[in-house]
Amino acid sequence: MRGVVTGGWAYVWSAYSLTVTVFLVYAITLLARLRQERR
Amino acid sequence: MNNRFPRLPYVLLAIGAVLFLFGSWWGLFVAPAEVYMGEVQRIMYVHVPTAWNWMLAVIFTFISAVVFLFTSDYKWDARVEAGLEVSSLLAFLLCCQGSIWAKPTWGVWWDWDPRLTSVAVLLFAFLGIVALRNFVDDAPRRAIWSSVATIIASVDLPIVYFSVKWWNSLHQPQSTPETVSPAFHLPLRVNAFAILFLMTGFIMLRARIASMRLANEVAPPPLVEAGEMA
Repeated sequence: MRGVVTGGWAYVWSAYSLTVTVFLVYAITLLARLRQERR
Repeated sequence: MNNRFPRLPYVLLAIGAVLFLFGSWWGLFVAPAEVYMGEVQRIMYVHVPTAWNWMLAVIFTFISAVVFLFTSDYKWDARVEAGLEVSSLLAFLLCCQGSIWAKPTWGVWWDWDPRLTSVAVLLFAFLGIVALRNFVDDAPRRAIWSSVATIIASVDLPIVYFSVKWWNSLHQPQSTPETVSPAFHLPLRVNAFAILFLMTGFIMLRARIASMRLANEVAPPPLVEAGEMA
């Protein structure tokens, strides 16, 4: 069929992986900065 | 709010993480593929909730800046600092997710379309204010400048929202329950709440860091004499 996107799972996984990684890394940096300020 | 409920941000982050796992699992493996975009449409379940929550984060930052200018209460300056950073994080994520979605559907990673450009303008404006805060050591001056700059930069938010209506845009119009199939509602809503909880937890923790750093600096002098603001 024309005008239909086929496949594309690699894009989907990239978007979800990026989102999870960014949230995880940011949470870790927040906890590290919090610990640093408490010292 | 932070001191009265010290564990609240951690609870919000935990709830947000669980909801995000559930919403993403449903969006990836349970919800049907879209007729024209196929599997690629599943990016919507992270992209659209990120966009909604980014707008909320910008509104929160704007309100915090206005309240700080009226009250000179430094807890609102800490919230401005937190809001600026978390808004920038969400805007960066939004641009990257959109770019990944754009390549298979539009054929390009980026286009200088009104919606994309106005989001990028606000991202760089907020990053500039974050940088400005790091260069100014004087706490009262830093707080006033960054609040004023935040209010000016936030004028871009309505432009972002209405850009798809005002101009001929590659980007689709706002998603509403009427424009999205009911089969897609659940993962979209679950991830919207997930990112809302994560964003709130992040802002609370970041504001706590800003408050602690301010307390470690020399106690800032009062911005104005009592009654001078009137």
